[in-house]
Amino acid sequence: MDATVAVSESGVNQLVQDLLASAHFSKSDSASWGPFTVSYSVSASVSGGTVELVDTPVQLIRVHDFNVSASAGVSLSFDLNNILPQICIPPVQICIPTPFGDICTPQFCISWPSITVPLTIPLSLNISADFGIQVRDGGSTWDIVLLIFPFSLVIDPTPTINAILTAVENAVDGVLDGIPLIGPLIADLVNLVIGALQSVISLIASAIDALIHEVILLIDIFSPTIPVTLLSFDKTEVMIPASGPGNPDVDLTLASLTAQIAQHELVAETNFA
Amino acid sequence: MGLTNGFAAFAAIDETGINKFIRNVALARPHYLHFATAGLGGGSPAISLLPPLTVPGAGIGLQYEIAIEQPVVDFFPQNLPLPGGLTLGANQFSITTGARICVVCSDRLKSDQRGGALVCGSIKVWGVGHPTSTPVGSTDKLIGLVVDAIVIKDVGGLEAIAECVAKDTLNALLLQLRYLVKKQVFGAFSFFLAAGPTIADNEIKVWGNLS
Repeated sequence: MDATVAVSESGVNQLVQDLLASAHFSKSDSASWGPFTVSYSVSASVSGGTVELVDTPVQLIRVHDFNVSASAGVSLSFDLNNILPQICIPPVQICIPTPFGDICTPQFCISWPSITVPLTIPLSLNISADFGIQVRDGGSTWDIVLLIFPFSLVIDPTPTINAILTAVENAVDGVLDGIPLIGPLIADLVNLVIGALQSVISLIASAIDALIHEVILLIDIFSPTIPVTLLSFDKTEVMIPASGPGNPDVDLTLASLTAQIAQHELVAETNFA
Repeated sequence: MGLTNGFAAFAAIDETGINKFIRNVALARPHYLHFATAGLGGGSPAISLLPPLTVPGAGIGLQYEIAIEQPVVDFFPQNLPLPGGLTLGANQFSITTGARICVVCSDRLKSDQRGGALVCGSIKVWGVGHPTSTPVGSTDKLIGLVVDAIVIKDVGGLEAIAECVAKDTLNALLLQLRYLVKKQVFGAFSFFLAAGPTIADNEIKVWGNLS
């Protein structure tokens, strides 16, 4: 081989960190479950991790403990009229027909408000992943790319469920607390809302977690089908730049490139044309 | 430890690669290897211009040209033969080339066409030298080669003079072939030279850190 370039484990770690600095993605969605309408947006980014270069015959780059940081912004809306029974004080109204029309006893019926509960659900998890290396022809470059091996990403929905239930409970309690004459009923009314929510909360949490999942996998480095370029070698290297008429560039053309992991180093070799 | 030897990155070009580079220099800038007075085409894109030499007593300018063969570099350990008086040691390179020197002989010019007036001779040149590194600014460095010793055979009593001129000529050529190691290695990554260049294993090697 005419030329050799090697990058140490710590050097590759530095290159991977540079790669992760731009690894982020966000997406939003919305859906309705029963009386609850939920819109949510998720953004995720990746940082940290340490690189291990695994030699022949495995030939892979293993990144230990990537930190995947995601944030789900959730806005949950519902109309209490669709959940709570109508409450009138007094509960019974008596009306007496007269030639001038009905005359009724006074009654006050509560019109339940609509509630929107905004909340942010943070997520942080550490994952390790293995990447194979390949050399690809990038047109004007030879690219050493990473391609992740399939890995499992398990997200525990419990924190999402608990965060939503707590936020809704606090919001409903706060709204009902402002309505006069129903003080003794508030606890039961809140329980009614929570009961209705609990029947669909798993579905809501699953949808949010699915989006978090999707967003994380949309980050190129976690896509098993999208190669991520770790190093890109110009096929034409200007060894001596042009310096006026009669002195054009003196180039070297990289006719081929190979890459392998050897002795815990990423080693690229090339032949010049 | 591998190739990087404690540094973040390593790069090396072997003697075949260097000789391809020299070939490309000869193709792109032939005037680096071909010199002549104006009367022999000097001053054209392919031939550097030399001033005529004054012929002592005759008061005329001597037209001449020097065509240097494409040099061939051999990095330690030795693969190409060297003449007596030169040995290739650790961290050294050898360079083998030659030159064809022609002069226009005024005596022949009177009775002949210019082509027939051209008197030529060839010499073979061998040199041995070491790699160099010259800082350029705070981070960049020019790496190159410089000839320390040279041998020219069969030029009789003019050997010392010929070797002196040839050494200066070769070093002037090598000075123009220095490579600026700066922020990119083959466009791949930011690289700051920390050690080297060193010649070993038929390669010229450098080590550095990533920015």
